[in-house]
Amino acid sequence: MKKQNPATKALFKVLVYAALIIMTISIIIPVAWVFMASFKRNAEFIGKGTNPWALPEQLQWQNYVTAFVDAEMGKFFLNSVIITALSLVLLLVIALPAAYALSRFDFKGKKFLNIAFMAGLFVNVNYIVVPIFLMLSGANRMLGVEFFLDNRFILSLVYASSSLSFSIYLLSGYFKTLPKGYEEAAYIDGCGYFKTMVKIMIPMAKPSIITVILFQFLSFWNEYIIAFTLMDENSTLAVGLKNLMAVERTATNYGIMYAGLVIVMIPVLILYVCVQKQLTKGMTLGGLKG
Amino acid sequence: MNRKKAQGRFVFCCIAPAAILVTLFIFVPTFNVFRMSLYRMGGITNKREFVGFSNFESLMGDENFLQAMQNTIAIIVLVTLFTIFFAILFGAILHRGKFKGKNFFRVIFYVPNILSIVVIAGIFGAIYNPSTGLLNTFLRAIGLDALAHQWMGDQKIVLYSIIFALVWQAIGYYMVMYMASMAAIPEDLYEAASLDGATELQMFFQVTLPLIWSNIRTTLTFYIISTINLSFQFVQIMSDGGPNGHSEVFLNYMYKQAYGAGVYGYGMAIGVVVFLFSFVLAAVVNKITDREVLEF
Amino acid sequence: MKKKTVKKLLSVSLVSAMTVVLLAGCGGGSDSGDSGSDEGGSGDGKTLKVAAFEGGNGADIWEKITAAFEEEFDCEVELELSSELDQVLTKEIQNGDVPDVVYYNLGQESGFTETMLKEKAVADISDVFDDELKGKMVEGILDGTAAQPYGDGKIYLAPIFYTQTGFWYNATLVGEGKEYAVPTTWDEFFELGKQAKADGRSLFTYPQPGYFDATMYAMLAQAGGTDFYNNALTYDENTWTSDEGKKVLDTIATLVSSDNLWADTVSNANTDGGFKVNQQAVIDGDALFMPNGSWVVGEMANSTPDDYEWGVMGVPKWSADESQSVYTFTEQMWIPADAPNIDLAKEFIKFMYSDTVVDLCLANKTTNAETGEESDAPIVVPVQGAAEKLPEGVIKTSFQTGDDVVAVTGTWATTAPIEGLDMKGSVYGAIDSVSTGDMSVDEWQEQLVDVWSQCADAME
Repeated sequence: MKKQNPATKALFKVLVYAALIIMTISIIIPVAWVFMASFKRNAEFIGKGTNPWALPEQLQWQNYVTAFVDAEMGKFFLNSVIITALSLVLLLVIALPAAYALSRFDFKGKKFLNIAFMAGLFVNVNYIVVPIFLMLSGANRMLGVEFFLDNRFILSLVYASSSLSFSIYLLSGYFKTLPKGYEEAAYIDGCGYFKTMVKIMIPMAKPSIITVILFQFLSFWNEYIIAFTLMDENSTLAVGLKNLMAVERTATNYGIMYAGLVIVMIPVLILYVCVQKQLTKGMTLGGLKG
Repeated sequence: MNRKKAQGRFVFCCIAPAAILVTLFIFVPTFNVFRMSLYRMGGITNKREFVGFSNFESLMGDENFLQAMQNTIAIIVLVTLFTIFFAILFGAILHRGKFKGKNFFRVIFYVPNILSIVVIAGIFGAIYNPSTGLLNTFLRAIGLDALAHQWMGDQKIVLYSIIFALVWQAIGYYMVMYMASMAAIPEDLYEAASLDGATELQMFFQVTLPLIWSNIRTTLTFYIISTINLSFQFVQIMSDGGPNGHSEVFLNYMYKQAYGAGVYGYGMAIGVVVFLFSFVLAAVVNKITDREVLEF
Repeated sequence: MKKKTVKKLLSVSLVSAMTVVLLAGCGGGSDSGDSGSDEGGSGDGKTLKVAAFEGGNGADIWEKITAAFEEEFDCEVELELSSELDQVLTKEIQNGDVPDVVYYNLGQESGFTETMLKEKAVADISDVFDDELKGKMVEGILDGTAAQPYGDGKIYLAPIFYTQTGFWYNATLVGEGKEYAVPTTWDEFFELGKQAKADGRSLFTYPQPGYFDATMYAMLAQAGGTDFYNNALTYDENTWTSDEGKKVLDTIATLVSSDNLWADTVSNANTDGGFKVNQQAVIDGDALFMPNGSWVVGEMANSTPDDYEWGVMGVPKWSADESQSVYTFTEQMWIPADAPNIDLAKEFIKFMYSDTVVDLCLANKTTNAETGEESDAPIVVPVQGAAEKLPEGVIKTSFQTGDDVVAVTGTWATTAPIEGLDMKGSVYGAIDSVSTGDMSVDEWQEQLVDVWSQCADAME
């Protein structure tokens, strides 16, 4: 750095800023555009002289009311919160011990298990969703109950399962980087395996736990393929939105469509802005070690 | 001996729940997909006829599928290359650069990941629209009419239009990942390099890149998996494979066959091939990129 | 009546489905899940499950029809409406919960009805159409493959609504005493194209390549007559290599060449909702003609200026003295083979042709979700005299048939499933590539010959 002359340095700085600003603009403008579009009347989307970049002629709040009512958002919102939270809890409770055991102990079959969990990464929900549905509906029929479908707990379990591979992969990568000494010290102090894991090792993994939450929260919140197939009355916001889109797409009521998108997007944006400091800090500390 | 036993029991208890769930909700359904790919079935009623590997044989001669495969491979390769380039570039700038607003950029760059695919497709619809879209109106405004194109209508361009949208969406996600591992590089390595008179650029190639290499390798697998999935979601809304199949991708074609053409078993055969394809590709990429890992 | 837009899917597993039937049979009253209890008094009091696609016609009409049916037949109707009916029903049928009557058309993107036919899961309803009903219906409407998909003389699909298709045009610009004269032959049509081009307009656009179905059917019938047309629908190997077939392909290629086609057409045709932008181009005068049906009037009402006029004409002919072929587009209703109440379901289909329903359909209105405004959206049931009751206007014109008009119905015949065949893509999707010049007519022809031979092999 010492050898760089001030002119090169300044140029470098300008280029850096230019790149950053172009990227920022390319993100902010489209997002602002969605907000703007959500206030437009349909006539402002199609027809002669319409300009997608023009400001709305008036604020069409009715779009929001229609979207909220038609997508049954009031009803589905709580479901989405419950299902997302439950899925995250289940995921962490199940993935953390598994990742810990797989990364810090040597035992027979470890290699096989690692490969098996890895293989799970390559399975795509788009093709296993129907078999899962058939399995659950078969279980209902066999037991003569209606327990397995339209059940928030079951859906959360399926969500947690679908991201186990990814989470175990991330978490065990992190556990591997921790020095052996901590556990040995704990054992000497008389801690059992379980206590060592819960009291000492898991708190140390907090940064990577935050990473898992960050990645999975969004995917659970936005997921609709599994939810649409397995749920009905207890469906989620994303499914409500999907239904709304299907109706409004046939009718091409763009304003209402975008209003629906904004309603679903806003809680996530707010949450993200609130927690991003901790998240980025956590991610930076935790990191991803392949 | 007793300790060994206790350890075994502990390990078992830790892993069993995860193993059971993954088996039940991932492997059993996957196995069923494999099984259904051996049948001729419509997928609505349970009428089915065992046909062995005939679905796979038809697949080898299916030009539409081969086109989808070609497109998917092109998308995976280009999206990965461009995303890695920009994600590392921005990551390195935000990591090493000393200027105001770093946190602001970091927050903004992650936003495309929060948006749902439908929003992104809507945005790009408005950008690519041939007469009223931002891109063409902008090009015409600055007198570059010749560069204005039918971004979604020209079959030679459509794939790149979709790739651009995918890269735009992915940069922030991977940037955050790379920054996380850059942050773990001890500062004294940079200080040492700086004392040796290295420029920022040299430091990037001699310190940063080698040390985050294992992280980049890991993300290569993610690129393969997520690009196959995301390209489907983008294509489904943005072009549905058109014009005339020139933006068709694996999973969109699978959907059309399984749910649109009444050959569900055949669609599942495509699912099997996609699974094997991504698995093998990831293994190959992993092997090729295998170098000596630098520890710090 | 119970209206459930979002259906409770879990309620009826096979076990409870049987319970419903038993309960209904005994006239019992206990409620099983949400599938409805008996409230009807003395009649047979069954519950009929009607699943209807919620599309451009709106939801209202189905609520009215089912309410009228309940009254007349003393039973309960459980109405299920969805704009993604294919997905909802797939789920339910897999779960063992089969509806009694389904309104879902052939030719939809999902191919749901086609798949049910391929699986032989649609009931034979020939006996619904007794001589009395047949005599009442629009002539020829039951003959084609749109009603008899297997071409075996048995009716599986009931044509409940119909409309005439053709080229819809901007009548503010085209017509007597307007800027452009209405053409009748292809030569005149393309001549008009040159004239339009000089004025900076395009002759033609299409909403999506799939809209060429009706056009292609009409053109095949126009080019080769009824026998040729029927052979084409059942995959005669000479369809596309014959002079008539080649003539159709060449004409379409000219029609969509860059000289005649509105430049943005292909871009919009494949993006979500873009078909409306293409339709708007006709209203705005950027393009003059497009293939469509009478629904387009209501579909575009929101963005149609008050002083705009629609016009409709048959697909042009090759010579002025030919009689005009017009393709009749029908919407279908059918009964799944495993439906629990097939007899009552047949009554429901019969009811669809009653005066009550005919009048309800003609009086149909749709509501604009944004403004809450109602606009007329008449639906025409294919019984004689129904179309005459339409209010004067372009929609009524589209139904008027002169002496030299030959009505054409039917769709490509149903075959056994063919792995890797994308019928819509190969037949119509190719038009996108032909228009940009990336595919030659010969290549398209070759592709069609190949598709036809595959389909012919898969016919039983």
